[in-house]
Amino acid sequence: MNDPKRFLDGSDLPDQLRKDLTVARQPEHYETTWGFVNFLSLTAAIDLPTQLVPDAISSLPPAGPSSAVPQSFAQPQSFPAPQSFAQPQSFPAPQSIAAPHSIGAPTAVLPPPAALPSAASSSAAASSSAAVSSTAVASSTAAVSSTAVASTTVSSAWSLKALALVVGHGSYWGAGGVGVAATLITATTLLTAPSHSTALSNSTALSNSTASSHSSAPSHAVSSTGSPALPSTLAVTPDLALDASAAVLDLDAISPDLASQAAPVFGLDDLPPALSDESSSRRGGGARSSARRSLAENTPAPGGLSDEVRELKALRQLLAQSPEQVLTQVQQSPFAERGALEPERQALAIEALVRLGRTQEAGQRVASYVARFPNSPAAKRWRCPQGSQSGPCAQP
Amino acid sequence: MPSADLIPAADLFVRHAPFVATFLRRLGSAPHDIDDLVQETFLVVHRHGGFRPGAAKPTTWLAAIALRLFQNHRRSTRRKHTRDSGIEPAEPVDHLARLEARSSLERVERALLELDTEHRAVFVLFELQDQSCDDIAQALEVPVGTVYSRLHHARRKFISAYQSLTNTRAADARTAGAQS
Repeated sequence: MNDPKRFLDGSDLPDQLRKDLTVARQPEHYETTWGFVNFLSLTAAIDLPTQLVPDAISSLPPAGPSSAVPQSFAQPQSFPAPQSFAQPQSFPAPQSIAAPHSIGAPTAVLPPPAALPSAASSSAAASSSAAVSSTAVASSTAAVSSTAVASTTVSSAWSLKALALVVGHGSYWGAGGVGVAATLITATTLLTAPSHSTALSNSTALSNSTASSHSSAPSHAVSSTGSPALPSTLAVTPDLALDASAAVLDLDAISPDLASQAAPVFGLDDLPPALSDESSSRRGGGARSSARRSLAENTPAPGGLSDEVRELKALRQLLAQSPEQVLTQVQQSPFAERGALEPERQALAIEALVRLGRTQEAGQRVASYVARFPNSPAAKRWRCPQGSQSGPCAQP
Repeated sequence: MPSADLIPAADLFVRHAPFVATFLRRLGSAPHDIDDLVQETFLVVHRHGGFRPGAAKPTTWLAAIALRLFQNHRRSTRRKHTRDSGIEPAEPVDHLARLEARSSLERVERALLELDTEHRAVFVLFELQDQSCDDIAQALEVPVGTVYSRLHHARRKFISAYQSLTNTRAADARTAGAQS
């Protein structure tokens, strides 16, 4: 049987209705690229294999000396467990803390916890069963929240380890991710310059980061400056880390989001010889100079953040015309893996892949991106499709 | 059939997400729900392992999934459908054209809301999204005769609703003109 004629093919249709139907036949505007990335992040949450968190805890890295600057430390894949630190712990948070000059350095010279990746992925994986039984958006919510909950266990183990260290010295503080950074600083203080009462002036940088970490726009270069910077070095710029003489690190300025990006906690046993042995035999200055060297090696050579922002803007403009070039330039960026805007660059690379139709590759990248930068604006946006206002997508 | 024949959900998404979004919008889904429903539709596909080419076309198959999700969503939220100004046709030429397009869409969608969901789905797929009755029948798993029947009723109701809508508006405009 043949189909009947469509309305618009009929001659007796009123003009107004004909016109209206013609408009209604036009497709709705739909942001396929962003929608697709959302979709990939949801499927990534569903497809993760399930593992138990305790396995991850038992495989925490042994305390091992490593004086060399670990290249992998600059790569957040080495410890993509930051979500865990977003969970507030029950420790009281001080208003401010004193930190030595080399606040940015210790993170650069500490060895990366090799087992944390598996901890993070398995904690994310632990959510998959919850995710599968829920509806699409709800499942992403479940995935995210249970990831956080599961990995809190991991962070607790780490925090306790460091806490034991700090309590012994009478310095008891630390609240979740904030405590992580603070604990680290204290440990360094004790080792390098215990009598130094000066602190580092990176409260400004951290405040900026805090404000930006709440930004919902995924593609504002400046907006997400801070959150990715923190894992690799606490100090945003080397100048700030090395030259500041006195200032206060304002813990109130560190949001849970930002804190979630903080480096994991290390105990004294985890410190490399560069800090624990050499430094003590060199008037306490060895660690700082070692840290300076490490930081210098680990910091982007060209002009810093402003150059990085400029590069990102150029990449964004290039995306519409030549996604392939964007991919190449992201790979060859002088800031690659080290810069503060690495999440933004990687998000652009994913968008470029989608535009090029390389969907499978994009899917893999999204999965690793969400695990690597769970609190980045892009990851948040992918988890919260346009208009979603429930669960983690709820507006404050 | 080997699994190699399956079209993965990701591929379907890239090709047909706008189709599903448009279908949902014309069905009467609120703009802020569309993205979620599109995602859910393709997640269902993903859980199925993809689309296996067969009697149904991917578009109508997706529409059938979206329709079920839309009905569930409506049942669960019991939200009163209000027409807002968020209707946005693709790439309006200018403000005037945009305004006119909005009015056109509003009239059509208001008239569509007078139809029940099953009739509306058939009407939208056939009249607005160019799907054949056979494909619609396959996707909705109903005989093609049922599709014809639903389409016939849907057209009658739609015309009636549309006319009463435009008549009411014309009367309102006359009243407003007389008052001014």
